[in-house]
Amino acid sequence: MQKLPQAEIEALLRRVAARDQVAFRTLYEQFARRVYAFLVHRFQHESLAEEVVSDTLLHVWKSPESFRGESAFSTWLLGVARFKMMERLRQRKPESEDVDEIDENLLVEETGPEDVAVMRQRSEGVRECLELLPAEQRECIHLAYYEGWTLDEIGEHMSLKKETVGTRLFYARKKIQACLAALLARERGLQEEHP
Amino acid sequence: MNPQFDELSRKAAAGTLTAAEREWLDAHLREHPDKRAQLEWDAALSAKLEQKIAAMPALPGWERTERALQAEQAASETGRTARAVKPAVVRSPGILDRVSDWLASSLGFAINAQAMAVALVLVQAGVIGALAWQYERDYSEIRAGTQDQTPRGPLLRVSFREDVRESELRRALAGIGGEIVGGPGQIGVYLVRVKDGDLRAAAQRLRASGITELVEIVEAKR
Repeated sequence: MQKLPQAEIEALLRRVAARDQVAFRTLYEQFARRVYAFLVHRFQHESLAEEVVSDTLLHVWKSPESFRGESAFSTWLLGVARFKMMERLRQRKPESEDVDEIDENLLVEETGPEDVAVMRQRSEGVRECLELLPAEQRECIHLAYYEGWTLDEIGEHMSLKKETVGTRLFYARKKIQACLAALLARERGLQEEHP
Repeated sequence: MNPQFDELSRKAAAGTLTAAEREWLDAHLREHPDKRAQLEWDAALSAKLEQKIAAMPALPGWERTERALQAEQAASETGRTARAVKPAVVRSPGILDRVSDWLASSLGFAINAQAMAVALVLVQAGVIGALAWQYERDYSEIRAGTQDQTPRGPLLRVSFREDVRESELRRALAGIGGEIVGGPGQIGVYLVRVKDGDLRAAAQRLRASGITELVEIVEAKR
């Protein structure tokens, strides 16, 4: 993932403030997919995500000065996108968020080599297992494993305590591992039935 | 579970490790080789996310955005054209011109319209002054009543989660010494003034309370 240095982003924002559409297009190219990926992983709503990406970047076009440099630009931008998406969803229907209900059987002690092999080989399975996670766990996974944010940064973004984020990530990992193990067991069962 | 290892393992997977963090991680793995599986699992998960995201559209929502930009540009060009055309429009004679023309035609001499306007303003000022003196009216109340009632910063813009109870909200506000001075707006955003203490610390505490969706600092208006 290529990342633009903060100084370069700030220079682009100054040009956007001077109504430079080329600079805006550059920012769009750099961040639209990242914002979209975050929204799709978190909210699983592709068409709405596309609109919210547009709204979010247009917010930058209209008021670039609203980014005050108190955090990384991408952190701020994903925060704006999250807020705008929630506004949109609130207008539609209340979102039912599930909490960290845990099946005790999922709590595998340690990650072993077999878990690593399954994770590497089963792209489709990983996608399915990620989609089965509760929305807030998916969000934590995306921000930690794709954006590389720390627990503090994720906590600030989601208005959660650092420890809560840690717990969510822990359970999300275990659920993915258990989900992949179940997929593998199912495949093996099918192979035994139809050798 | 080692929280530092867990965090650095995720950061390594996402490619955001600093040199010092990389050093710590390598040393930790030398001491605990069994942890390598977790590091590899994290890296594999991150790679799967990368693959999935690389297959997503490169410029999602661009057509919509471009239309909005074009509409804005067209609107600003229309505005410029209208402003450019305006001075060319022939101005119809105003009331002062017409009175001046009438005086010129009926009295037989012309009075300059601007001179008449100045004279009218002077007469009006005189009448208003006389009335004010006569009734000794106190205008201070009227002036006070027309002051801007918008709460001034520094404030916090706060949106609470939908399922928050009033008692939780009050407890959170009491915890930061805050009071609601505005809102809720159409999207449920409140303006909160913090009586004493550090606004940033108060924002941080509200965010950490887990009952807010948005906490932003609104700087003081100049």
